[in-house]
Amino acid sequence: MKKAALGLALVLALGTAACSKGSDKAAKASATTSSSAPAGGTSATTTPAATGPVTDADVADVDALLHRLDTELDRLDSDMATGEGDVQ
Amino acid sequence: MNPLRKALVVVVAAAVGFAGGATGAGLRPVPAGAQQVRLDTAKRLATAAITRRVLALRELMTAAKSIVRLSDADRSALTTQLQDQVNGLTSLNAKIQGDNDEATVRADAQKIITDYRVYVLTIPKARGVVVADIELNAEDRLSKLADRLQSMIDQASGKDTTKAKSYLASLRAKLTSVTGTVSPLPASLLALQPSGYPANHTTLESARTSLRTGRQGLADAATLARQVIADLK
Repeated sequence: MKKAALGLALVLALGTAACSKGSDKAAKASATTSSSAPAGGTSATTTPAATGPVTDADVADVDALLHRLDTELDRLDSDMATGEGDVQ
Repeated sequence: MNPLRKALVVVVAAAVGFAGGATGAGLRPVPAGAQQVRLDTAKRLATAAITRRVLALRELMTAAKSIVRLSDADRSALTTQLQDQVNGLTSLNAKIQGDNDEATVRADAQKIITDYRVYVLTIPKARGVVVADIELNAEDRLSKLADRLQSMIDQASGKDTTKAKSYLASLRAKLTSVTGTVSPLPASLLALQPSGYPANHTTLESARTSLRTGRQGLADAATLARQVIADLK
């Protein structure tokens, strides 16, 4: 009984540490990535070259965001195909 | 003692020991040791099921933190809902580890599914909210590009911009459609609760279809932006 509780606590602690580590990486990426980064986490207000003639590179920036969108949509499909499974 | 008698004594002693662990429910008594093993196994399975769910929820919490386009209220609501499930499952695990009989463990383990619906509802709905945010963010960017394309058209003096104007009008229409389709989704998804499952699953399906429609609209808008650029060259 205690072992199982201890096991869960350990896994949760590791999960938390991993998430925290991932968040740190994301935060660093936001701070150092160029404004043309495809991440959805990039603020819309930091989109490059907010003025001047539009180039294919500007649209490619949107394409990159759409690529990330495709990945998330595929994951949504996968999520929705998953059942709860057995718990006993 | 001859071997036969010795074996008989062992069998009788075992039978007496088993009687103490009989459940009363079955025809054959279950030894106390075996009961404990089954109880521990049920607890371990429940812990594993909870751990898988908690890790999946934490992954979505990380994704939720990358939301940039939705309102603070929507982002906060999503994060809170995910955290509430993590907290609830953690408490449920503690309860299960303290349960003293297999029937109670099984009843509590069933709550992992019925009270949370992590895989069939929470995760898809959270993912849907994240996807909606990305789509609205892309719509924002394309809208800004559309404004700049309009300036390019305005400044293209002495050039036939009929086609460019037509492409740009189509681009804006696509963006308006995307906004209309995707904007209501976060609120409708966040309203889904485990207690409403499975009836509310149709809302999830509908949202997924709308998100696919939105994605197509954005791809069309990007293509139209390229056509405007090409026409103005």
